[in-house]
Amino acid sequence: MSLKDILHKKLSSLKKSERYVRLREFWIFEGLSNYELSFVDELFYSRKYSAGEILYEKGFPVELVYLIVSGEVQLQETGQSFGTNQVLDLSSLFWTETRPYTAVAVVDTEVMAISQTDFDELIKKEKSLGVKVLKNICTRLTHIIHDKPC
Amino acid sequence: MLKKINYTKTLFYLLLLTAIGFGIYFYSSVFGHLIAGFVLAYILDPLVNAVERLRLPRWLAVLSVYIIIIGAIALLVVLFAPSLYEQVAQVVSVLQEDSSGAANPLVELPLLKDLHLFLMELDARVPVLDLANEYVKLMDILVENLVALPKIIMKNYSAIIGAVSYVGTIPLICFYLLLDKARFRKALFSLIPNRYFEPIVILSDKIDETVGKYMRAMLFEVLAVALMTFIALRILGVPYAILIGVIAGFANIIPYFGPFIGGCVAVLSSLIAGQPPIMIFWVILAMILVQQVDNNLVYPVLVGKTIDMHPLVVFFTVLAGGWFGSLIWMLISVPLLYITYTMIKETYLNFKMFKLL
Repeated sequence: MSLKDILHKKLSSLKKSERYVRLREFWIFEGLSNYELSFVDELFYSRKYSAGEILYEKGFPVELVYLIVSGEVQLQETGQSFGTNQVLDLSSLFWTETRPYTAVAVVDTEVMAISQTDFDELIKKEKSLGVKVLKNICTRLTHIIHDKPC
Repeated sequence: MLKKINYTKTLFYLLLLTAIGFGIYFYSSVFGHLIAGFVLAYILDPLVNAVERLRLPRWLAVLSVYIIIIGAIALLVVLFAPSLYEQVAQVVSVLQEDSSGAANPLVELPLLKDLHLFLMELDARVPVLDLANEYVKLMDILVENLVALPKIIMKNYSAIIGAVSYVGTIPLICFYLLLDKARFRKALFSLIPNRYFEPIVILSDKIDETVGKYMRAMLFEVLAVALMTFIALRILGVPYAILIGVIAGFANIIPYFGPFIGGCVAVLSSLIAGQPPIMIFWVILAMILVQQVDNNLVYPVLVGKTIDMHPLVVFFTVLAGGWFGSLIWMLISVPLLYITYTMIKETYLNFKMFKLL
């Protein structure tokens, strides 16, 4: 199956190897091995939100980071919107604070939710995975600082 | 305008409800097995994760843990079971002999005999007193109660057999729960509505942190106290050291009173064996030492903080456990109370933050 097909299919209908390909499409999981992705695959939750449904509200405790598989999510306060393959509220993967904004699904949206606690444990267990994710985040930050498109 | 009734929908949900009802009825007899399997899987999970970290596939990790545990149990059985069985049989036979014999065996024990003789002497000097007879009567009552103990165990025979049947099925349930942990968790969590999803993820982590840690620590503590008691009593030469160790280990689950029970059993055993009275001092000292090591070394390392529960609450809980069920309920009543309390507290705090309450 080609990447295009995989991207257009629903997450639940993908086979394990296809799910790994799908996961690698998110920039934070770029370059992860199948072995490392098998752990990520075990801990993400697939969630569906219909248009207008709230993902989280401002001031709520933070536990989940959302990777958007398909659809669009908008931050109510800033109007910034996030689409396919983008990561919503990345800081929630590492820091426990309260949500700074309210996020609402603009259209029917499918996301992968990853728990901070689970991810922390995974990094402790698979250090090389942690390093790769860190590298990806650094690369991303460099691009943002130098204002290069990525 | 009247709302139109969707008959298909109503009928479907009615049928679904019936099916669920029958399902619960059908599976109710194995529900206990499932819970026990779940608890076991819960305790073993960190061990499996640790083995999995050696880059073994999950099924092999689970299998390795099983082999390690079965090996350990087999080793323990080979080492201790024959003498443990012997000790139990001895205690039972001693107590049963006591009931049939005319003379009270307790009165024959060294320290108690001295007291008896002293009372007889006192009676001889002051004829009205008749203390010696009263004393023997008191001892008779004590023996009667002691004799009743094995009978209680006999009465619960069917329960014990039921427990043995558990042994066959629970490892199997536990195996699949451990193997497909991620799948089961995902399936279970997918049932949660979006509004409740994040609160429940946080809640499950919190409960896992407190309850899981507590349960594993408790299990380890039982083993540690049993082993330390056994070693201490073996050094002192107290008979039935293994049996007392096992009792002390399990009794230790009950805060405040458990260690006292273990100590009493140890002292009693030393007395019955006719060891010199000074041994009571040494036995008590040994039991205190075991408790000190447990409280100051084992427990802080494993759990971190002690359960903050008033002794009176513990006392009433254990008492209620005794009325509610058997000896096992007395043992698990306090942990159960603590777990329930923690769960309710965490749920409240968490749901409050998410404005669900």
